Order: sequence, then C-alpha cells, then structure tokens
Amino acid sequence: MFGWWQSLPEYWQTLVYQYTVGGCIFFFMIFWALKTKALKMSSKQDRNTLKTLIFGFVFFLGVHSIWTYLVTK
Amino acid sequence: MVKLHIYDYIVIFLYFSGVLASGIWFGRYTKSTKDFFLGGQRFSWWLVAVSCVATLVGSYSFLTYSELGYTSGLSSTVYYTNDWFILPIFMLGWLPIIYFSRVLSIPEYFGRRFDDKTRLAALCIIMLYLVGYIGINLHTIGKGFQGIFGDPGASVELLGFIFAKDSLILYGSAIGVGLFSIMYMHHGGQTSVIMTDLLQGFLLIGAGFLVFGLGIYHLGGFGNWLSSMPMDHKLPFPHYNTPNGFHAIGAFWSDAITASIGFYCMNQGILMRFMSVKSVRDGKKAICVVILVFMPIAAIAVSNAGWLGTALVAKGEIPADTPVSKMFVVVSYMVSSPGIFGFVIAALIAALMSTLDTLINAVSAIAVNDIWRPYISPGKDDKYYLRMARYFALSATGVGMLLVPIYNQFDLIMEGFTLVMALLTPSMVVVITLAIVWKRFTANAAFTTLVLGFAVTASSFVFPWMIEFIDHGVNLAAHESGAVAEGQYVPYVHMRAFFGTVASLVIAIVTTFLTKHSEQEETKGLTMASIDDAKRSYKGGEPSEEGTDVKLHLTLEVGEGDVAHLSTEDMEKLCAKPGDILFVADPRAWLGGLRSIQVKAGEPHDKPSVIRLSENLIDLGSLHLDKEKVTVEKLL
Repeated sequence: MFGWWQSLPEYWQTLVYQYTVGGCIFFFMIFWALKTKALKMSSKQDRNTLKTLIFGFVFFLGVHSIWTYLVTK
Repeated sequence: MVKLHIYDYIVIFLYFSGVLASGIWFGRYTKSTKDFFLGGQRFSWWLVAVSCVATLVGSYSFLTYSELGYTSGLSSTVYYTNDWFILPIFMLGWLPIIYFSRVLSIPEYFGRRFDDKTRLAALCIIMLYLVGYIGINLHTIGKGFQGIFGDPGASVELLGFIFAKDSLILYGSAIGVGLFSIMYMHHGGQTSVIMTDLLQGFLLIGAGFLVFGLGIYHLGGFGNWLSSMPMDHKLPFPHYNTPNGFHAIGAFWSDAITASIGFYCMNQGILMRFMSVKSVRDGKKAICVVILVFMPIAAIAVSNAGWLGTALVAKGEIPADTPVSKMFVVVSYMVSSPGIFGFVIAALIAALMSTLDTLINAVSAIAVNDIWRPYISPGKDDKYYLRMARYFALSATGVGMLLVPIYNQFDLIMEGFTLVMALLTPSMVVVITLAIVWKRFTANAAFTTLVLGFAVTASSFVFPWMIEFIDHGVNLAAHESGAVAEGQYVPYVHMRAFFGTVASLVIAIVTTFLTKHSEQEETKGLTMASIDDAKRSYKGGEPSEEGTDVKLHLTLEVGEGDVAHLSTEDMEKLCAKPGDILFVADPRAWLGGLRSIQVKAGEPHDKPSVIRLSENLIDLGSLHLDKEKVTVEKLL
C-alpha cells in the first residue's frame, strides 16, 4: 500500500509529508471558518483574505518544490 | 582570536544610545496601562509587521541558526518558512476573537471562556513559557559575548574572588544587556517596544545581509560559495528522520505546528503586539507580510554565517574544530572590517533586546492584569497599576537571569530551548485551538487537558518509550545510523512536542464528552462561530464594514464630548452612522499611527470637510491642531 511512498527519494518524502499533513490542517481550518461563518464569502474583505491564504500556501509549496527539483535534477 | 577595534566600540555605543534615546522619546506617548500594554490600538500594519520580525528574531536566532546552517546547510531556513500552515487558526480565529473581545491577556481569555481554575493553570504555563523565553535570550547573548571576549580556562579576580573568565562574561553580559532593556521598556511600555523594535528590526536584518554579502565577496562570488556545499546542504528540508537533533518530521511537528501556534497564540508579547494594531484588518495584513515576506528574509539573515562557515572551513580559512556555537561570531569577524563587526554585534544585541523588551512587557501585563489587579490589590487607580507594571518588568528580567545557568547545562543552544518549549507548549496549544474552534469544549476538559497534558508530556522525560509508537521511525533511524548505543533511548528532542500534542488532544476530546458542556453565554464572542457577537460587543452596536476602504482628509477643529463629529456629506462618503468606530490620524503615513485615535462617530454637523474632536481626544491621540488636515477612516 505504501510502496510508492517507500520508492520516493527522501527529499521528496519530506516535502510531500509536510504539505500533505500541513495542508490538511490548513484547509480544515479554512473549511471550519467557512462553516462557522468566521469567513464569509459574501464579504469582499473575507474573499481577499481567503485568496491571500491560498496564494501563500501555493507560494511556499511552489518555492520548496522548485528548490528541491533544481538541487536534485 | 576575535578582538574588537575602537570603531566597533563606537558603533556599539552609538547603537545603545540610539535605542535608549528612541525608547525614552516614544515613552512620552504612554499615558495609561492601555497605552503601556497595548500601545493604544492605533498602529499601522507595516509598523507592527517590522517590529514583529524584531521580536521573532531573538539573539538565539543568529547563534542557533548559524549552528544549524553550518551543520545542515540551507535547510536551516525551514523553521522560518513553515509557519503558513497554522495561519488560518491565527488569522481567522484567534486574532479577531482576542481583538474584539478586548482581552488584555491570554489567561483573561481563559477566565472568560472557561473558569478561574483554568485561568490559573494557563497563567502558570504561560508565565513559565515567557520567563523561559527571556532566559534563553539572555543565555545566548552571554554565549555570543563569550565567543568574542571568552578565554576557556582563564580566570579573573574580582572583589577578592576568583571567577572563570568565560562564566563572568556569560553572566555579566546577560545581566548588563537585560538591565539596559528594562531602562527603556520600563519607561514607555508597548509604544517604546514597538518603536525601538522597528529600528532594531531593520538593523538586525541589515546586519545579517551585510555579513552574507561580505562573505560571498570574500569567497570570490556566489558560484564559489554554492559549489563548496555538499548536495544535501543545498536542499530546503533536512533529512526525513535523522539526525536526532534536526530532522524534517521533528521540525514540522515541533516547530511548524506546535511552536508556531504557541508563538502566535500563546505568546502574550505577540498578542499584545497585534492588539496594538489599529484594526483586525491591519493585523491580518501584518501577519501575512511577516510570514510571507519578512520571515524568509530573516531566515537568510540569521543562517548565512553558518553557510559561509562551511565554505570557509572547506577552504581551510577556519579551523575545522571551531565550536559550532561560535560559528556566527567567527565568520562575521572574518568577513568584516573594523566598525562593520561592531555593527554586527550591535545587531546581535538588537535581536536580544527587541525580543526581551516584548517578553518583559508581556510578563508585566499578565502579572498586573491576572494577579495584581484582580486578586492582590483591586480597585486602585490606573497610575498605581502602571507603576506596578514597571516593577514587574524588573522582576521578570531577574527571574530570566536565574535561568541562564540552567540553559548553560546544554551543549547546543537549540537543544535546551526545544526541550523546555516541547514541555510547555503542547497542552496550551491544544486548549487554545479547541477553545476557539469547538464550542462544545468544556471548562473542565480545558483544565484537565492543561494539567494532565502537561503531566503526561513531562512524564515522557522519565519514560521516553511512550513516544516510540508515534516517533515516525526517529528512534530506529538513530540506532541504525549509530547515533545512539543499542538499548539507549534517544531523548526525542523534537518528537516530544508531537507526543504532547497528540496526548493532550486525546485527553481534551475524551474529557469534553465526559463533562457537561458550557452554556451559550460562556462562549459568546469567544469562539470562531461567534465572531460577529465579539464585533457587536466591541462596537456596542451592529458592525458594518461598508465604506471601510474610504479615507478622507479633513480639517481638525475643537469640538465637545467624547465622540467625533463629521459633516453629513462626509458621513455619507464613509457610509458611517453615529456609533460607528472611526480612526483619526495624522496624515503623515510614515508615523504608522503614532499620532492617532480610535473614536466613535457622533451626530453629524453641516460644515463639509471638517472633523470636530474635544481637546481631550486631541491630546489622547497626540494630534496637532495647527496641522492642516487629519485622515479619517471608518473601522467598524
């Protein structure tokens, strides 16, 4: 079941682990904020907040992925 | 041998004078305990963001991350680039809740959300956390000075007693810099802290990059530096679960999750910094810029001496047996010229003082608001509590100094610090998170989690096998790599935080379902599901965000009462009604809100482009009548 995980080089394992587990925590909190109306899609400010949060996640994931790729290619 | 030049002493002297002068100068804006602790809730996002970086980067950062940079390469940046995961907890939950509920301290939040016994348990843990933080910063500045002036084995005679020279430098510098921090913090509280941290934030980032630039030049270019590193030193993450002291799994659980939630949500100093911002919107902007922009920049500033050290050792310019704890001082001394090295040392001291002043201010806030005012001496006037806050600031530094010999027992600076934080943060982090996201989370469950979670985490020091079943193979990998002898348990420097978090979470969930849940009144405005209630309570009416993007430039005139009067026309432009909260500020944006005030809108008048405030409000906001205009924004 975890054969694909074992076959990943260690440097990709660390990245996948961090962004999968961290991503679960991150997106669960956003989901919870939407569910509890702490974040309202009807508010322009809240929509900008959501866009910023997702941009930041993608930014760090992108930087770390490209960095790892460039070092190991 | 590191030796300071006269130019270095001059630069360090100028730095001390500048910080002291600005701390005392900005202290004149402190007129009440609200100003002393919260800075009057008026600062702009950029001012809070830069000063926040100075708080995040402690003196231990330069030494510790240079150690990591030397031993592990570019992966030393991982601690400063993994905070984004917990940002929704802070930005969407904790920040609006604490800001709108106007709590002055984290234990106060616990008292309101839960009960007095939970408040007391939180108080004890947070005080230990803050004093532990003060201690580590004092210890590292001592270690830094040891690297410059130390001479292992040498002794010094003082007042008829013989002291080891290294010990004298360690304790002497910790006491000296600690006392200096108090001098300006004692005077001006949060305003002095923010304004001096602004100065120190630029200084420490600038010095870090100066060392990097000079080091690259010394090595003959960027390519020469990069090619001197082994491949695994160029990766952004350390190895998955080895070595025991620094691995990706540990960095994720102990730092990205537990320590980050702990730092942003449990650190009273950070809470006060974000309470000083003019609005929650500015607070959100500040935290995004801190994590997205300033933290990665700071990561390079604090780590690069270690990266340069690897190349300098490879070239034979630095002996391979140089202690890693001295790498920052040795490398920056080698690449700097007289005067520049003084600037670097000033930055090291700046990193200490900018963190220390925040922590000292935080301890005094908790001591006054959670101990002295409610239990020891209630009902006194504000000046009395302001005086007590200043005495507590002195005491906090004294207690932090007593921790220096304890931290000195550890070989690596980061090791001692991580062990202390891994003990104190997990149960608090779980309780804070569940308190804001889970309305069902009960007071009894919160108290049990704090006490039992702490006890279980502490017992893992005695029974480390408890951690083994969730250690992600850290123990096995350490054995296989020969890091520990067979049959000997690895101390789980990082995995203890994960264990404590899991244990506390289980305790919290089980006890919540076994105990009676709180009534609606106890959670109103204090959970994510009731942030609108918190806004109503903050404003004293129905919140309205319409028109909050508009900024007007109006002429200030003297009026009457404790509200601001605008013309009907201007009220319409702002979509404001009487009772809405306005922000009136000096139009010079670079002041960052230093001269400003939050005030409610009153009934409109009929003179366009004019705002009327009473003389008292003008004085409280340090606004100038002789200036032509003020800016006016609607906040809520």
